[in-house]
Amino acid sequence: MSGRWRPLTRVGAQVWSLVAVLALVSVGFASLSDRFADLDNLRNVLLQAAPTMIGAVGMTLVIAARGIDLSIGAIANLALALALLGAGTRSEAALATDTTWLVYPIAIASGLALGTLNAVATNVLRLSALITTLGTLTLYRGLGLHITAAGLIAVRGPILAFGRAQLWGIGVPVFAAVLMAVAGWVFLSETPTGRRLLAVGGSPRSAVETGLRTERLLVVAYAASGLCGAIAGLILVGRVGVVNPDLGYGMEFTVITAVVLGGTSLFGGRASMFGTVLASLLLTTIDNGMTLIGADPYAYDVVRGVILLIAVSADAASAHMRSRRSPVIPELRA
Amino acid sequence: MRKAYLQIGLAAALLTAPTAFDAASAKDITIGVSFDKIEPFRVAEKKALTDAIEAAHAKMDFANADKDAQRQASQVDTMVSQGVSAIIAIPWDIEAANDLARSTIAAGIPFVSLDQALSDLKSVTYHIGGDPCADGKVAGEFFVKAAAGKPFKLLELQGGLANDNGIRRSRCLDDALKAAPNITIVAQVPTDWNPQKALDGTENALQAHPDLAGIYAPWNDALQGVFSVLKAKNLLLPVGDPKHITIVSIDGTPLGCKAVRDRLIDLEIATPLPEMSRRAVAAAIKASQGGKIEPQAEFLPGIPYGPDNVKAMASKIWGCQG
Amino acid sequence: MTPDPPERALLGVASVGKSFAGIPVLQDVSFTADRGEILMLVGENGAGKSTLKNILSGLIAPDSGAVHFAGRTLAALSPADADRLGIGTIHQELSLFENLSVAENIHLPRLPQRFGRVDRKRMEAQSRAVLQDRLGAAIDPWTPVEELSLGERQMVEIAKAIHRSSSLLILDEPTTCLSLPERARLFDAVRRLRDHRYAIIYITHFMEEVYELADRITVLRDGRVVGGGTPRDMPQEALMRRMVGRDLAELTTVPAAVADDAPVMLEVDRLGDGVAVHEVSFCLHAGEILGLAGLMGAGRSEVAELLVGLRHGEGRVTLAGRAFVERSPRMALERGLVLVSEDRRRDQAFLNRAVRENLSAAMLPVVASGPLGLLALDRERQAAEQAAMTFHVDHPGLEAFMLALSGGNQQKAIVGRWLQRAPRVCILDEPTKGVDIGARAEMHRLIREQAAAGVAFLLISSDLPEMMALAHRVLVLHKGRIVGALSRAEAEAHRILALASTGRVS
Repeated sequence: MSGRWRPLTRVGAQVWSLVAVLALVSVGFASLSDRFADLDNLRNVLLQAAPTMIGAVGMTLVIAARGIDLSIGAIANLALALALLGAGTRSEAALATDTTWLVYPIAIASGLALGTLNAVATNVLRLSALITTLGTLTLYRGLGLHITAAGLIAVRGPILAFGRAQLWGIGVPVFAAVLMAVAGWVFLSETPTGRRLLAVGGSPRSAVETGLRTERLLVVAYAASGLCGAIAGLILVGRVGVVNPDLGYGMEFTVITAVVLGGTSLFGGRASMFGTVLASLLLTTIDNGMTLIGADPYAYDVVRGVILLIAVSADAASAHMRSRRSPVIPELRA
Repeated sequence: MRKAYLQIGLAAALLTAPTAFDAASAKDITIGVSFDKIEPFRVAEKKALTDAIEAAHAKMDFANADKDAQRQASQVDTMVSQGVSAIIAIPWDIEAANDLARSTIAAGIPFVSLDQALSDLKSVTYHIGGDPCADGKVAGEFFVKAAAGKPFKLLELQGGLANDNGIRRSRCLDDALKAAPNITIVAQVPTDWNPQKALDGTENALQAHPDLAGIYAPWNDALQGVFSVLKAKNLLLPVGDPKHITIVSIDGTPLGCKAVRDRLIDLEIATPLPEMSRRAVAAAIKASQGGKIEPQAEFLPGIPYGPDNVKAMASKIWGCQG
Repeated sequence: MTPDPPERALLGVASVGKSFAGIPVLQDVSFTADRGEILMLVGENGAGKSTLKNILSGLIAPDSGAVHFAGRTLAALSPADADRLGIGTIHQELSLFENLSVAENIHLPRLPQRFGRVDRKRMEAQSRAVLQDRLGAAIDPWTPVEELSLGERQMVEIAKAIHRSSSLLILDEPTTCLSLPERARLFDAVRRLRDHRYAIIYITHFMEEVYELADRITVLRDGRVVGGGTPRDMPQEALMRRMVGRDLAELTTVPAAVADDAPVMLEVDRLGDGVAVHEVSFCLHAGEILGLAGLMGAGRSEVAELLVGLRHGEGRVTLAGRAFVERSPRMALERGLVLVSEDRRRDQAFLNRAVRENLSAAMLPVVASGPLGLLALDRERQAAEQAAMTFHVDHPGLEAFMLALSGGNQQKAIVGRWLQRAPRVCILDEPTKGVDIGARAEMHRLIREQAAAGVAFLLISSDLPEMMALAHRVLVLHKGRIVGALSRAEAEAHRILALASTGRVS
């Protein structure tokens, strides 16, 4: 029956071109460094990609609903600061903060709450999400700085477990990322709420006229984004072992790049979770490979910038193709 | 009060070329302090400045530009219009702040740049900072000595690509290494001063070069990322262990000092923060009272110390105190 | 036929009033609609039809009066009320999600689900039931809406409305963008729904639709009900008088004949861009109104764009005897060729500026004076007054905001702005689209007058009666080529339509 079911999360041309680029980039790096095509390195890439990927899954939901969340990195920061505030004990002698398992529920609840606040602010202020989340970006970062006194806080204890644990030799964050991506995909393409989210992104006006509860749906999207930000923050902190003021700084750019590169339209209504995953991997692979081949540090940004431009033009080109495909309408009346 | 001034004079005389400022009365003086951002090192700098300003019996008006040149300009303008006697700023944009400094001075208010030098040193009343080049050079020479003529693979973590400290700590290291063809820099990883990126970079470099011999971590926060990777690979070993990877870092924060005390890093180059702050404040006060500042710019090299002499040096390193 | 008392019918609107910013839009409006009948709600633009529709679909609340529905009385409806009561609305602008499939569009916001997942089987079955059985439309439920024609989209919109509503359906100008066969299919669907015991409120200002569908008619003018009854009680003449509030005799005026020795103003030789337009040749005389007919996408607007240089292509254009080679909008203006396109009319009204400025905008170089080129206010006012008179722009004062003018008067002001420059050739693209009957007649009068004064018009219009009423000759475009040139006597609707749809005379 569903032979003609064409989900908007379908594997589209964008994804195939990503697969091609990823393959090309990998072959290139592999030929320049014999350590690139190596199981250990694959583990590294996956682990390094996990925070970006998780953040990008949340961001995909937001962008699919024609929103944007610039505050995702600030949420990573503030959620972890709040977790330390609630479940950390400063040990002066060791210059480190001891934590309890409570950091996890606190960070996750904070992420959800801060994301929800983004949605509420957007709904109440009736401003564009770009403006509101730019505001909350500053607010959340400011609060984070305030709580941590802008200090670098070395952390110990359970907070490190998530970022460092392994399962069959693979970092647990990798499993978390895959799980989140699958959950995001199922949500968007299989659940009524997910379809409604895409509807809101496709046409906010129609959504209102159709009686969709746009504001509630936005809460779902932004809360998800906040949740993903907090989880990404937990991974970053778990791996590096510090909560620093720069935690999550610039994460929004990497994550939005991954989402758009993955084929999710910035104009909403079209999302590709698979593309998001691939693009996160591609961005991480580029950084990884550049280090492996000992590239000039100034080349990193150039390569990333070129990729972003390709992503944006591909998005525009596909929008252009769609508009050309629009039907020819006979329009005579007698 | 006299005691405080005596100390400044003493400390100044101890360190570099003496710059004896007149001990002017600082009553009713407010110094506007503008920081480019807030991060752990800046917190320490702020504390050092606060101490220095208090010691001079002046008041402080503080603002954080949070990595925004526009914001910094408007914050400084506001301070000037509120009647501060002098500005001490850590500029965010070393190009754009030239105009800010000139216009502030044109308004009759001295502009002292701290830590980050502007692209045009002449635009400020006085500059006092560390000497990133000297620090990079000391680090380079240390690696040359540690390599002792044998092949040596070095990972260089790059702080900021568009930032004076980041650039010069990197370039002067490279210059010092030119003398030793046996040392290869296997990767220069840009990090934006972010420990998470330092972690990924270290992990990737170790993947490419399991026989890595040295890591240059030109700011203390990077150490956390480096240590995480080394620990996971069972390579976080004390100085002296045959498999120990030689690590040099710069800053002199408490975390850096702890790493030295724990014998995890071989050399740390501590920025003389209290001294920098004292000189900045003294120059600001003197200039606001019409005094002439000579020399117009000073660069204080860092104080190198390692696990073997940390006890002896501790009193001179701000991060080792308390 | 006397309407039921409001309480007894399915829907009774009782003395509803509504004002925006102190201006009454609806006053004391009462009517009823019952199951199994089609009520035509007719009126010019601005009569209050849309406001009424929005009140019934719960988008806005009335200031006074009440709505009775199925025995209950409500002061105001919310969208949720409308939903619960089974009231479905098809807005003039379709509210579809182009990125989603037909089935999803029909079912949103309540997608059927099984174990938390979307139940596609049920969605498909229900969509087919509505589309095929109720509406007789063969549309695959899984097609993305962006791939459908406008007519099909309209059907999906109706399917969506009847999927959610069981009792009352409101259609707002549903045929605006439909072709003839699509319109016939829509009428079929509407009649079927009536036979399925739906109450239908059909909003329109097209006479032929009124008499093709109506069981009863309610006429709105200036926010009041000014008449009603069955089609038999209310012949077309009477209905139009009610709608407009005055006689429209001038509608049937024949345009002044073109003088035999009228000079050729525009000569076009094998104009084309290789994509949308191919080898288009014609000539246009002073004082002539030349119609350019064709289906949407046939290349009519593209011809206009080629002529003024908005689009690049080959072919020779001669303007008033001189070759027009370096074509650009700026050069076109300089040479006396103006294009008043649909977009131009929409974009060029400076709504929050004075009427004076709107009228003089194209004349500023003439109005400006003195060595500094400053604007002379009195001269500008004079020019604006003159223009308002020449182009029949009714305004409450030259200094009033453009916003205060009715849509028709705004359009006349914009068209007038360009005609003020005394162009040799004026290309009008859909000059009366979306304008009410009165304004349309005024616009026609203006075009005829200007033609009589010697301006050559190229008239692009999808409105065949307009074309037949105005044009001296009609060119028919099909797939970018001219497939027929009809004289006024030959230009009958069926012939134009046949040429436009097939490229041949059937």
